Amino acid sequence: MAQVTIDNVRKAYGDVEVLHGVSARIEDGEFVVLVGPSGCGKSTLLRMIAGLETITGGIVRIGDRVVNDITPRERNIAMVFQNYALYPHMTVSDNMTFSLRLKGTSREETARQVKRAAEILGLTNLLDRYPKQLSGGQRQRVAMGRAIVRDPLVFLFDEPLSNLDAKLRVQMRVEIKDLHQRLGTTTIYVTHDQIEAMTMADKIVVMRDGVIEQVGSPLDIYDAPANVFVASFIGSPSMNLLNCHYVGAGNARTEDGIDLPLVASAALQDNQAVVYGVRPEHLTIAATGIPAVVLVVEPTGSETHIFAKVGNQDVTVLVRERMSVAPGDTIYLQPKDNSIYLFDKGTGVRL
Amino acid sequence: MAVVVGSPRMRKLETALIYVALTVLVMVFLFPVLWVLGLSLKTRLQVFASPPLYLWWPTIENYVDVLTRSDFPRAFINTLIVSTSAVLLSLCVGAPAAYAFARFPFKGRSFLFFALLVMRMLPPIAVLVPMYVIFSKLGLATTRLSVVLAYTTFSLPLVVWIMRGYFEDLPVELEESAWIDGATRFTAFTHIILPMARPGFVAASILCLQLAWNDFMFAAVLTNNDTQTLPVMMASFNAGDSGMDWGGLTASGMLVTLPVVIFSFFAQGHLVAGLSSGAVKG
Ligand SMILES: Nc1ncnc2c1ncn2[C@@H]1O[C@H](COP(=O)(O)OP(=O)(O)O)[C@@H](O)[C@H]1O
Ligand SMILES: [Mg+2]
Repeated sequence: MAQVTIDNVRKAYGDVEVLHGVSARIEDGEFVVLVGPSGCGKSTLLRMIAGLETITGGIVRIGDRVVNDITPRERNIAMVFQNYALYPHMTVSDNMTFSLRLKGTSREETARQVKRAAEILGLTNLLDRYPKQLSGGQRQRVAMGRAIVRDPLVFLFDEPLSNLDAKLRVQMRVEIKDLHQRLGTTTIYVTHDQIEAMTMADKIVVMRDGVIEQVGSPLDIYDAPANVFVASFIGSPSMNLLNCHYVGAGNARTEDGIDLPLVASAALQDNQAVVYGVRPEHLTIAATGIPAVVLVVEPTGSETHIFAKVGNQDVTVLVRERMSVAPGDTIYLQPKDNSIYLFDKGTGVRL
Repeated sequence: MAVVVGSPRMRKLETALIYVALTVLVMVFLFPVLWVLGLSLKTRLQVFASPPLYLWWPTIENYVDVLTRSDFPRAFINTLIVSTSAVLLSLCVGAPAAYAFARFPFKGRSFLFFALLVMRMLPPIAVLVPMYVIFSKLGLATTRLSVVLAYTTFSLPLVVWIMRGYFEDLPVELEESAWIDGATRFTAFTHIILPMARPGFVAASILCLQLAWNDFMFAAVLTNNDTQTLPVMMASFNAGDSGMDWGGLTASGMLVTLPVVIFSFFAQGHLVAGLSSGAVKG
């Protein structure tokens, strides 16, 4: 096990720079999730840690060792790919022991490791099968088995669950998390799914367009997003963001002239353009408040999502109690105390 | 109106028609082969009977003649050595080259690949004379090696072409996974890539073998009596004072064809499609 440090790392393909100086520190034994929209450079960063991509600039360390010029085979890492990349001409057991055979591990030790991994992952009855005889979830487990027999310094996962159906995804999420708690191996996990990030991570690294937007624990990031991007990316349904300007006296006003309640702030100047953020779950429906016209009501059973318009801007409200609202109704919304986020309109930074 | 296409009787009829059509097609394709087989089983008199004989007692005298000729076993062994060597050499050189074309984006890649194919576009006769001159200068004329090199020149582009396709279709993640597992590029190639590309090897070796086994032109120019191959030997049936020896020619033709047919038949069993299925999602 080891910590991983990424220091001002850059990656360019030809003239196009896709990672613009990224720094992060992954502690020993930590489960870190790199999350961000598709194309933001998560896989590229992970592959640089694995040694599958050259490093254009900056330093990557695994433990105390600078690994910039070290081949993947010498990095003592294990990686689970999005498409699993199982060796199709080998049985499950051979797939898992390929690395051990290359290392020249003794037969008894190999058998012991396979037995252990197979027991952890529930693969004991499948050891003689070939990958094509397995279901998606089983292949996923074999890919993980291949990683854990190695006992590597670091586990790397690149969107390992995105080929599974929704139900299996939730199940595997729990299994991976449980596996990490049992083995305690430093893990870097890439996903575009913020729910996976929130549920699995000790620490989330939010990326966009080749830069890191914010690093923190899931709840820190949820409670204190650094900017508009993080605020809208983390949390589901995502945060409501309303364009408005500060009009003093603890109020902000939308273009349509609708007043949004605020705690008075000395830091704001009159008429300053801001983005008013409030999470759907922090809005309640009351007798008075921000007027909104209901568009669609989506009951999910345990909670109800109400999509509405404040002036010409969209808001989502999440309510747990059952209530009779219908499209076309006007409802009045009250933000809970201390649930308002204000962002600078130009820079997107939280004020 | 009821649609009758799906009724069981119609379907049976359809199947029967398909089989009839296929049988006719196979007969058309196999007719020359059957004709040659027929000739090889006739005596000299029967060969020239007019109108042709369609029913006769087959004789194996032509086969006995051919197999007891002093030069047949030698030519057979020459052909075997030359063809096998050409196939192995083409695969050993071609597969790594194809891998490089498939995986490394080196400068001039597409130009080189095209250049390789140009070799296939040339009519073989165009390179025959220059090759002969070169081999003579190198002291290789009339050796088996010269024929092997000539065949390799023509089968190499074929191997590279076929194997490149196979290698490109194999997911890169399989190799990357092997590297992370501790394999060198070479180990990953031999342990992961080669086993998965087996159908490609089989297809390529069948084609190369046929190219080499059946060649007459290069062997005729580049070999002598000691190193001549079967097709060259067969030509001598045409030469005697007694005119064309049809029986000998067709019997040896059948004997020459047999090993390639047998090889291809067994090799084709390895051409299983979907060997790589299960590697990635699917
Ligand atoms: N081999 C490559 N050549 C050129 N551009 C690439 C290559 N691989 C990735 N990119 C670009 O780098 C960016 C980041 O890609 P990637 O790391 O795969 O994103 P993510 O995993 O976050 O979806 C994308 O814009 C992608 O187009
Ligand atoms: Mg990716």
